[in-house]
Amino acid sequence: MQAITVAGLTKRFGRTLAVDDLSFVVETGTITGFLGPNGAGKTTTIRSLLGLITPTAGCARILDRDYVELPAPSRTVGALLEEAGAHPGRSASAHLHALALAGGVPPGRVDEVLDLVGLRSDARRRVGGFSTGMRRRLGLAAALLGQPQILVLDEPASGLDPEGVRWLRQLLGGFAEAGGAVLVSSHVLAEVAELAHHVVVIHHGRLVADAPLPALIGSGHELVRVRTPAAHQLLERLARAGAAVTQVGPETLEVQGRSPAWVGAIASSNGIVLHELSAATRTLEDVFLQLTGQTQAKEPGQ
Amino acid sequence: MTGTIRAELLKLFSIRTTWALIAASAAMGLLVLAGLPPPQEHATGAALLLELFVAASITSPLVLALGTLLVGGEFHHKTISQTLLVTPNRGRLLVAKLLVGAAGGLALSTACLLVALSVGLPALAGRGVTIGMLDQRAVLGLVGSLAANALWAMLGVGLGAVLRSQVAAIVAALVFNFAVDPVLQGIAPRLWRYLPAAADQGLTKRPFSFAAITSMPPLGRVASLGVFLAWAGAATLAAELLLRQRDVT
Repeated sequence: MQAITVAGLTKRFGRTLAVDDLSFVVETGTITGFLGPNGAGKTTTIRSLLGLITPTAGCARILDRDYVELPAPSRTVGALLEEAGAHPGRSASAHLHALALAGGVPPGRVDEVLDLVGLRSDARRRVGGFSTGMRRRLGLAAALLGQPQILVLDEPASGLDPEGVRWLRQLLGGFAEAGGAVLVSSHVLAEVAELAHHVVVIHHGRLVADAPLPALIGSGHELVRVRTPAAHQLLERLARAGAAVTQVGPETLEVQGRSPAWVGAIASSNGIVLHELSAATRTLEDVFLQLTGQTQAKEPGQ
Repeated sequence: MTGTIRAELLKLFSIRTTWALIAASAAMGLLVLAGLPPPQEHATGAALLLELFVAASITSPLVLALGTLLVGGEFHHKTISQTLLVTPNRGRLLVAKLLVGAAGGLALSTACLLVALSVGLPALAGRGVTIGMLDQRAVLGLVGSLAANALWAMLGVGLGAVLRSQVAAIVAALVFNFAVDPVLQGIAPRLWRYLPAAADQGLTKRPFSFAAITSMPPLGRVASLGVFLAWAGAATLAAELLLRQRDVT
């Protein structure tokens, strides 16, 4: 079932096109990483999804409804936005109690979520004295307050220490296993690589990738890196033999879904000299840079 | 709706600024006493109370500031997004803010009156003036004072929501009341009677106001209430339209 549907979402701020005809879905029981460089349009997309921004065209919906139409929004969606969202002069406890009152959440949940995020002993302190990490935890407490089925988190790991990041990973993993849906944005790829089942990558407001994480990275040794002075010729031969080949450098090709032996055999049978033939594992970072780099390169020609 | 109002009440009373404004209003209770003319020989207790009730509405600048905090403060401290996540219906949020603003205005007036009464009544008793039953004028004075403060708070809520900044809202209110208002009072006194400060004066019937000296008496109590309500309503309507349309980025 689709927890989140973004369809043809476009948002223009004056002359700036922040999001451009973006479409993707988030299925229940999955964690979807929402990636893009700073300024790619992630926050605008998330704010449109949460009813804070009105799209210029298209829609971003939750369980087939606009956020503002949800009968119990804070018991359906838990959201964490970039800013803490708490008045610096208010105590953590008062902040969460006010959210509970407005969201129709039993007040007993406040202590539960404070325990969950490890802020129970700081509950009566004013938020202004909190560290960045503590504010993040308070934001997560607010997101989890209504025991929602869907979590929408904008850069949740920023400001968390390594222990906090591990804790967050476990928390979200458990949440998705229990059938929840998570959309988590980040510009730090390593965070998402260890967390997400599915990845949506945007750049300059446009979708550049929407795929299961393993498919995007290419699993293990199925990626072969080959370097040859006759890159163009080899690319043609490999493509003719049915391989998915990408030229990643002047002399370097990457071949997906084939073994080094297979690639070597094609080269040999065509008399092509190889300078390197290796099985490589692409990281999400490689994919990301490749995807966003390509889009950037296309830009001037448009 | 009840949940939203209760949440807004909790938010208002869980920050120090609110309590500082209440404390300042309480201190104004002493100012009220100091500013009252000495009671005349034949003055009745009810007449003295009327003066006190009327004078207690001098907390209105503080009440206006409190009102601007309610929405303007949400933008200032970047808490508006979180607030709209739990209450996405912006109209409902605004109504809750207006009601809570009015309640906050009443809290400030009450603090001022309580101090003025608790110090003033024993002092009057010491001079042999006894306070009997409140007469109709004293009750009207009290109601006018409280109503004016509730309306100032609502005006502040609307202004804060339109300008999206508590500081800008307070500055705008000060400039309007202390610069625009006196100028209009001088050049177009008939028009002046329809400004908020004049309506406040007409409603409370106090001899001094934001607008200090005037040759043109303000409108009657009921008309002033209507003018004031129209201002608060217009501010609310503008706030509602803008809040509904604007993106919260």
